[in-house]
Amino acid sequence: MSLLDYLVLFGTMVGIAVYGIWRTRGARSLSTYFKGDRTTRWATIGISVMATQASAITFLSTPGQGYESGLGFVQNYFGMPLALIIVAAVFLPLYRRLDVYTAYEFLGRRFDGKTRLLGAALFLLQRGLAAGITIYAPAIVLSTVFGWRLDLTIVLSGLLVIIYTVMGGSQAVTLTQKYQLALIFGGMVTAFIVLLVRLPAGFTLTDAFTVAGGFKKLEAVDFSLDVNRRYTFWSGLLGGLFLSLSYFGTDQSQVQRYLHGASLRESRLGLMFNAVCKIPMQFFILLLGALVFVFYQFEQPPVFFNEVAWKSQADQAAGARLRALAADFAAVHAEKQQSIHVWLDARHAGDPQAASAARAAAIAAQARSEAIRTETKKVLHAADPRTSTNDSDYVFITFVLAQLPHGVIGLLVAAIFAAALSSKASELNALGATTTIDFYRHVVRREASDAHYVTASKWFTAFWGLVALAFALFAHLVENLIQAVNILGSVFYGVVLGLFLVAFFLRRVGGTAVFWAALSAQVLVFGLYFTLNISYLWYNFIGCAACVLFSLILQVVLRSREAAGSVSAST
Amino acid sequence: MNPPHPPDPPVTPVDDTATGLPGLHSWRWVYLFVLGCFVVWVVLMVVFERLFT
Repeated sequence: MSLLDYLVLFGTMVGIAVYGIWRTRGARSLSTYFKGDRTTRWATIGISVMATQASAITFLSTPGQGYESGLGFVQNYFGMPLALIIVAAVFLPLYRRLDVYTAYEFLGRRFDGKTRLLGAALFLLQRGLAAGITIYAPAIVLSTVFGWRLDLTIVLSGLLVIIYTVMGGSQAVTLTQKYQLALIFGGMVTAFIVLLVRLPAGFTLTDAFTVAGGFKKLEAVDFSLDVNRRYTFWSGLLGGLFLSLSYFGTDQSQVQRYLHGASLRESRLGLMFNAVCKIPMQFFILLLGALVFVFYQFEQPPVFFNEVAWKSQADQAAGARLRALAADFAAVHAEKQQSIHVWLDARHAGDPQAASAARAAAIAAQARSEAIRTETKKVLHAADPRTSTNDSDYVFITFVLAQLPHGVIGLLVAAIFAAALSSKASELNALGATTTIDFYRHVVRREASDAHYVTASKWFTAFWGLVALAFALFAHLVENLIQAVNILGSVFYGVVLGLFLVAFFLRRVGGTAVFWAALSAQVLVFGLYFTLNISYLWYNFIGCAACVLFSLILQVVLRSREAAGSVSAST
Repeated sequence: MNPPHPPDPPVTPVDDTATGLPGLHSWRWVYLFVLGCFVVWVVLMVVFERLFT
């Protein structure tokens, strides 16, 4: 990083923080602090909802997924358009009519206090842990860029985010997200253009897609019914529907974003904007990863993308073995590069047999490359068991730092931080709001001034920031960051969604039945998660279905016991 | 056991229901448009995949 990069990076970070603090200065009412001044238009809401979901993980981890596994991850979002339609048509009008601060306040009005607390507690648990993972993501950037210790980087960057979030309110979060998302899109498009420019001379975009397709990096849609496959059209459609319905309909970090709307229309259109744009956006980011893979077929990639970890062991006892593996990797890479050139030349010359043979040779070389990478990971792990063998989250940032011109590097690192700040601010703001409204104001102190609750919310926000920070210190043990967030969501979201679906559609079910049903369903999901090996998206469906089914059964049992009790009392 | 009860009556009336979008005058049409976009995205991705795999 040059001085110019640092100027762009720190200028943007400080600018966003100062802007947020400046816009939220002065005393505010509880309503303004949590819901803004209700003048926000649909474009701002749409951007805010998108920026909340698109964290730094989206920028770091998703291209890594595209590089490693291709475009299949996009199927995860297939349920989102339908889910957003349901939220816009059913959830949103009720939230606005009841004028609630949090989604769980609605549960309290529909059922009772304990069900409200259960919904809020499940949200706090899930989101508090997920927030830790999203603090971890930008820390990877810093540790790679500066060569700092990862744990130290987590603490420093986490504290910076906490200070910004505590100082800023919900309205400032929404306002700053507009500029942050512009920065993110600007960074992604710039990276895409630079990728195309840096491909070898005479190498067209069609050639790049041919190479990516040849290595099976462009397989986006899988109609297989195999439940053991992690991403399929059906798991994405059904599991993704439930995951998205839970996330957008019941997760306070999102609900708080669209409650800002000037009217029902503005909030609805903001959600529909996301329903249309999210899938192509994710596809584009994954494609970026697949093109980084193509780029590294012509440029020597590191044998292990977490170069800080590799270098730290290269000077130790395992150094000789690691260097030998790196030399083997370079030799196989040169062989593979030669095969790809032969493959493309044969293809251009209209010789399918030669193209097919060269392609097979390139794929075989790729398999050998992967075997060497796997061996390198084993050696690194054996040398230091604390070293994570997952390096896919380092792929994109390695590309950015090694290949992009100065100034653009600063822009992209700033975009990653903008993404981190935007989603983190929403999450911590929602955690603070839920703790204040659903626990503190509802249980601890019912009558106090707005200023008191705003102050309390700031303290709770800081508390959750510190919890997330503590969890972030262990996030390096997780295989892939974005998957970890989705797995966490899937384990909890299904049951929370079940609570809301019962509230909306099963008018005869009461608070006690749904409360115990939700607890039982959550225990069931935990049990299945630790015993079954199925795509985690299915837990959204299982948790939700179990909660709804158990609620119906328990309601029947409780009603029959109540009827029996009243009959015996009357006799 | 707490008896079930319906949601509280509306605090404020439901605000505007018009979409204000040209050609999509009801929310039903907006939702159909969104679902149509989804189908188009999936078809385009399948075609893209088949072209290069």
